Amino acid sequence: MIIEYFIHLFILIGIYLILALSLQLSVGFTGLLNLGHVAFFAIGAYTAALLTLNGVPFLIAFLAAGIIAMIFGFILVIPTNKLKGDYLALATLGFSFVVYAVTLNYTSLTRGPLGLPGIPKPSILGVTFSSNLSFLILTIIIAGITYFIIKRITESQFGKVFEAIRDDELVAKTLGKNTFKMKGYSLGISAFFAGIAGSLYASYITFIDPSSFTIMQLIPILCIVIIGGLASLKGTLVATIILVLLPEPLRFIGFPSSIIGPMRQIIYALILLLILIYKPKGFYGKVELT
Amino acid sequence: MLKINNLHAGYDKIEILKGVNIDVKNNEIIALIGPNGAGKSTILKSIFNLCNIYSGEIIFKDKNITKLQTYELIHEGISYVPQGRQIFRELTVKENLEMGAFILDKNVMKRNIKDVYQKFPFLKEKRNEYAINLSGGQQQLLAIGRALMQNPQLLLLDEPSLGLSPKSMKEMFNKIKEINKEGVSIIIVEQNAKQSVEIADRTYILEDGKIALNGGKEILKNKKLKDIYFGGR
Repeated sequence: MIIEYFIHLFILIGIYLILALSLQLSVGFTGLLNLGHVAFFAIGAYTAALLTLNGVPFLIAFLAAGIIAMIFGFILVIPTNKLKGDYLALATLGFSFVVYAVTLNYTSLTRGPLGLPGIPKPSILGVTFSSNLSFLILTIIIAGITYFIIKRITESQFGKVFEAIRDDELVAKTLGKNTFKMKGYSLGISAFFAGIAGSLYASYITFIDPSSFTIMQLIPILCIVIIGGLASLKGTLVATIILVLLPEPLRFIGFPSSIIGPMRQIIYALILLLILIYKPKGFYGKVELT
Repeated sequence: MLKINNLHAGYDKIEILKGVNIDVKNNEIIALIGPNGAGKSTILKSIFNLCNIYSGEIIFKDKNITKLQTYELIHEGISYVPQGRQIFRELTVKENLEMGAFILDKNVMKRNIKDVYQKFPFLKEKRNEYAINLSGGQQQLLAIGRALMQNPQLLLLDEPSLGLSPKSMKEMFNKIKEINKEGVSIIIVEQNAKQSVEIADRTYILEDGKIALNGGKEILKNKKLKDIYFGGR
């Protein structure tokens, strides 16, 4: 029983890790304060859920979830290209509200607030990941691949351009880089991984509804990115583990579940405040939040 | 080499340049001076398509570059060092130089880094230090070094002496002359009128978005210069 519980927690850590790493790419490395990340997560989850419910194999649905989210990532750059900082944050936040409104109101596709139940467990080449342990292994593999790919990107010349845009977009432009295209790549790649995280989430919980993808779901992910430290993948990993596990002991103290939810938010807020006061760059961050 | 014909440019609806003509010949240093707000920096920005151009044209080596995007200009052989030492502070000196070589292949990049190290030996010594730890003068030379990574034929410098001590300013002007001797044409925008006129082959003096005077070093003795700067008339 207790083992099952820990397996569940580690699956959550895996999914959060994919989300936080991909957000790190756009926020930490490219300096795009992207609050639309949860929308990409939702697009991925709905794409994968609708496809698998209609009999499409998991692997194809999984990749489609990433690719469709990525397309939205590219598109989002077009109207927001000239926005910076808070303004970009507001515009991307608006995007996540639009996606939320669509999932809620496009009932013929998403069944609105009723949600999509009975999403099949993943099955790849005849292997079905129905037990939680096997799902954990799948999640760890995918999170590992995500970590590896994002690490390779950020260490390459290509990734250095992202950091150049974060530090000074004008200079990156005068040094001969099409920063509009590069921002598109950054948001696109970031959205791709958010999309596959959505696919994993949908097939793990087997039920999704619009309330799984509100701005409240973005807060823990953004906290992880800031607390772990901007532009640090190691920090993101450490912060994901800490922030997912930290509120858990509350369950054993005997608080009712109606209190645990708000307590989680309070704990996140407190850690965020303490980090910003005493360690503004986060655990391993390279740059400060501006 | 570079010809600017009847250029009108500005920001949104505010017209800053009201018909500017400039002609840069091969291997020249051109100084652009004038009081604040005359439009010196705007000329460089309009060459690099960083402001709105209403009319007029910019010709570089017989090619009209007026409509080229900022990131395309570098392929034409023009490099721009923006005002205020815009280096990447969180990166090392070497990484900063590599940033200047996005468009080159690896081997050319290595060769160019060597060339830049030769011109600025202190950059080689400090190649693994973070750029933020350099002094102001060194940061400015790093920004110039980064622009040189692209082998430009024309280098645009926007107030390189900003915030430098007299000593590092002198060093910087000497370096600019050295770079020019190797065959790079330079347009330098400066507040420091005297020193820039002295290193320049020709000087354009701007007043209220128009060229008020142009000429060689004798321009400093021109009586009108005082009027332009101090508004006596």
